[in-house]
Amino acid sequence: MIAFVLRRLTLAVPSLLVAAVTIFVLMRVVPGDPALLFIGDLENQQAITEMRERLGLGKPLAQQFLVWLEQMARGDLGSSIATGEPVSRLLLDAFPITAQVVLIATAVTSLLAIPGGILAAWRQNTKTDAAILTGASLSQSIPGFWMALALILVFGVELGWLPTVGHVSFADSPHGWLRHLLLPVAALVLTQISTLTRMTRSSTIEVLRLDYITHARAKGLTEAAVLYRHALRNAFAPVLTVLGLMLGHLLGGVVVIETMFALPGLGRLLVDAIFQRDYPVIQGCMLFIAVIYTVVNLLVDLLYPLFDPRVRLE
Amino acid sequence: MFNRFNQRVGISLTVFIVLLAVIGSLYTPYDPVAQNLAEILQPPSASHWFGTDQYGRDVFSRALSSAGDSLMISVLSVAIATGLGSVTGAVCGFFGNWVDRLVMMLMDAYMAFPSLLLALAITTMIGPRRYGVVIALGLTYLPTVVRVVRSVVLSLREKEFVEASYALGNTSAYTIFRHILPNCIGPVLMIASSLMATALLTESALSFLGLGIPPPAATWGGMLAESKLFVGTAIWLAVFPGLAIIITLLGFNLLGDALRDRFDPRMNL
Amino acid sequence: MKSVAALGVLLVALIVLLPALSGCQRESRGKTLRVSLASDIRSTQFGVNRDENTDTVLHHVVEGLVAYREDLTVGPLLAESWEVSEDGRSYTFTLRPGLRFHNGQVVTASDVKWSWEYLLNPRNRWLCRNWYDGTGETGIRILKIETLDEQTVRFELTEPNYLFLARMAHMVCLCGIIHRDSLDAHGNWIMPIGTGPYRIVRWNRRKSIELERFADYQPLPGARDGYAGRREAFFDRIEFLVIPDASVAEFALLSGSIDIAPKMPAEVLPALARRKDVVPVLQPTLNWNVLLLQNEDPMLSDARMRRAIAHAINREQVAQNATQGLAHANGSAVFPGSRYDSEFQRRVPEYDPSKARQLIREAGYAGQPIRLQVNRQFQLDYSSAIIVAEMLRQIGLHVELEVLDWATQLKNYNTGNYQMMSIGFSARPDPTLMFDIFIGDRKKRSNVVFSDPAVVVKLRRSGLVTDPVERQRLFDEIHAAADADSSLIGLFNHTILDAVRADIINYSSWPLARPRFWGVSRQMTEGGEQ
Repeated sequence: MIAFVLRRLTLAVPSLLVAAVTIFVLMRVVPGDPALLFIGDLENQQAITEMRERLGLGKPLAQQFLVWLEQMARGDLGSSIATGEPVSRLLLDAFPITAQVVLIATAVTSLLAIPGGILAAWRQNTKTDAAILTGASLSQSIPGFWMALALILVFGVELGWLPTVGHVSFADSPHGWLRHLLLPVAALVLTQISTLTRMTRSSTIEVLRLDYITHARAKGLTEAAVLYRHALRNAFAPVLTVLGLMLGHLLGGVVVIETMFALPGLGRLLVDAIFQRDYPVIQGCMLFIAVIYTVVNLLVDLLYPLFDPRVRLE
Repeated sequence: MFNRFNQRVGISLTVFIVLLAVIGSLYTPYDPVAQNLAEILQPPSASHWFGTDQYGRDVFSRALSSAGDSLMISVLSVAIATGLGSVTGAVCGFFGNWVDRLVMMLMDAYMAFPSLLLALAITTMIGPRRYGVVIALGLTYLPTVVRVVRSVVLSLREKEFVEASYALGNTSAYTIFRHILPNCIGPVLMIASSLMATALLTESALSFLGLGIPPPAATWGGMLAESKLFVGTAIWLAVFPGLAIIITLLGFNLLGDALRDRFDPRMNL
Repeated sequence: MKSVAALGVLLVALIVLLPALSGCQRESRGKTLRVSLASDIRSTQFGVNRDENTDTVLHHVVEGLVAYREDLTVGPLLAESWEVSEDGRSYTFTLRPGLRFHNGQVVTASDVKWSWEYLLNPRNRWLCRNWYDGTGETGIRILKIETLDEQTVRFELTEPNYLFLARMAHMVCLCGIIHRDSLDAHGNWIMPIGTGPYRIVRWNRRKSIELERFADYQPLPGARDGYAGRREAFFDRIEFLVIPDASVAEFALLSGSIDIAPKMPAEVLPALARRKDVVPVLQPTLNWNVLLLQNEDPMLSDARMRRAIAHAINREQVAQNATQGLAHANGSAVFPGSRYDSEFQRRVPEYDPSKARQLIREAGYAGQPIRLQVNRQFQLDYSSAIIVAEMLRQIGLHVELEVLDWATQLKNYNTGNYQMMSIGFSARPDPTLMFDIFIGDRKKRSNVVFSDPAVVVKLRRSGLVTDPVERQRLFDEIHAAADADSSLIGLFNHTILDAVRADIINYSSWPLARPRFWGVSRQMTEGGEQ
């Protein structure tokens, strides 16, 4: 297994390198000048020129890229142009916030969507199935920021039950932490739940059609036992793939949710950096996101054989 | 049965929205961009069915005329993704040599970025023009299509009719276009319909972040994003574009379900 | 399905628990003021790495010798008084007695000298050094700074300059007096040890920044007055929460998560006005929205085209509709009703579409597209552009809106790469500084809009002379020339909307539009939250 992990990681390196080049070129082609944004509304042309020089923005692109690569090879992601803060520190501050929301939301989504999907599949073509599918379709049809807005208006502004902004760390106050996370998690769950429900439903339907389920039923097993022991186990593998893809992408930042609940997560860090043309932060973020995605996918692949005995790590 | 019903609903909603877009491009009760600064933020009434916005523009006319732009962005971006993606995916899957490995490596690299962030970066680069958004979304969804088509082609490659085509002395290009790609239509249509829904949502998120298509043109997502400041006072600004989005997405999604049942019940996406 | 049933129970339990959870909020809320901040502060180094939000926070922590009053005159802050010598070249400041830094040390003249020398040292990259070392455009040059005794310090300039105090009090470049322990032994910045009514106790980057009341602060007598006057702190703590999106800040305020949401877009005013628990605080400010026309563009280099555009815009209508009726038109860099306002400053081309049509005909305009650049980051730039574009279409100009992100637009502004641009300028307290934004020598500064050499000379002079009558005459001439040229079309000054919870007392804004939280307190209800 270790060999497998190592091989996968080596295979990921060229991809990451391609990603790095793309990010670098992409961002440098975007018009805009970090030095200008830094100086802002002060009239000081000389300071702008000096700043550009200090940042090495006048050098040829290839040279800048090599400088960056060399820095990265040393494990140095550089520092933010706007705040001077090391990029690694910014990432380490931002990622846990995104991760908390995303992991909790994904857990809740799974808890709701997997039983929901199985139920819909089991009751295929009944009213229950229709209700679940319609619910899923509806939640999939509402733009994320609007969903968040509705939650804020109802639970924050009208009922006044929950805070609508900010983040409290668990160590400071577990109770405050929970209260601040409830709305963003709910918003994320509502936007993600439908994909997983549909996925579970269709893969369970497929399994339920197979012969061994008929056998199991014929053996006189209860429906619950059939569903749990036979159907769920076998239907879970594709669900896991979707779950992995979802998690890999969400962990890279949930910009809309982070914006709507004023959470200083990874997505917001990247978007702000793009708007600020804060090159080191953009590059660091994008690369970090690519790494997370790769790692999550690797983890999913490692888990896969547990659920689908036909799959072996090779 | 229920599925049949869903199918019908999906198709009728989609047809309805397309009709709206056609009507919207031909006729609107008012000029959708004409401002009437004396009549700003009027609630729905007999003369303005959906009310007016902060510049006194008729919301009904705007919602109608932006149907075209909203759909255009979804359709064109998905067309780019599926067009480019199918050919690339087919070629990769069919030959499976170093081209395949190289392309898949590139695609893996792209897949690593959340689509909204990628679209955001590309839009910032091209500038938020109408076609900038289209290209950004198209490129963003490209890897998904490539992967799906490639996996379908991989399984098709082993089928008898492909071998038969070779046996008849056909070239690879001919075989790909004549035999492989037509067999991919089902799965491609299926992801296309779900991508259209995603594209509409991503476009609205881009508008929310201030990178939608430039005014005076508008999309429903853009109208919805702009209405955010008025939720407390002029809710009609949000309700109508919001409903339009919901109806369209429901249509696309149900259509996607129908296509899935039709073409391949085992394809899980 | 057991799991579904269990889940249902869990959901119900959660919903039942929600209100219970909210019961025990707002512990110690009474003594903390919570304020939204649109972006995190960039650093604690004033004038070195700053933006408007950074200034807002740091002005509570660090103070200079002098500061602006609400009537835009310069008043004392750390200095009790100052004297200007006969020849106008030397300024002698006397410090208020008994002032202390946050670390308990007494503020002396040598601290002032040390602080200024720190700021003026090129090594420390203070961005406003060019205001004082003779390299800037309205070139003041400080010859030397000397301490006369514990309480007095003298600044000597190479030549008299009216703007010296105006610069020193200018809020964007806080000339803060700090204790030398703000630096470590190697001269690296740690944290500002200032003299302000608050000091920084905690900074969670990108999330929040907390200030604590400085117990030994000695407020000036009298009333709160701009950045000068009485700075008496009533709240024990101020917590600035970083909330980038304006609607999100609005909802945080409505739900009671924050007490003050400064600088809300005018669009939310009707929603706020409906509620009893929130009070909108409105304040006309010197921030100025304008339309720039590139007079080196082939089409717009024709003065008739620019003039036509000036006549085609109903400025009052733009002002009213872009700001939900809060602002009035202002075509001049001089703030209406301020000291240098005059009937000449109010003169702008009247709104006359038929004259505009005639002018573009004369100029031979044949329907070529004209691009109007704007951004969405600043709501007022955007809404003015939408309205202006429609007005220009009315006279037959083919205007295309080009919505860029702010970074791109700023770059274009700075290089002059645009045909038309809708942009807002932040407040500068003196008319010379305000005119200086867009008038100057194009060879030295690529963002200049109007560069008639005769006018540039007049502008320089307006910064040197101290006689108000002569300054007035100069400003009137400059405005007349700029107006005739019509490369910059002034639209309106912002009225800023700060949204405040109803239990917050005595919050007010001022023309320079920087929120201040001293003098502000919370009204205690009978229930007593404390």
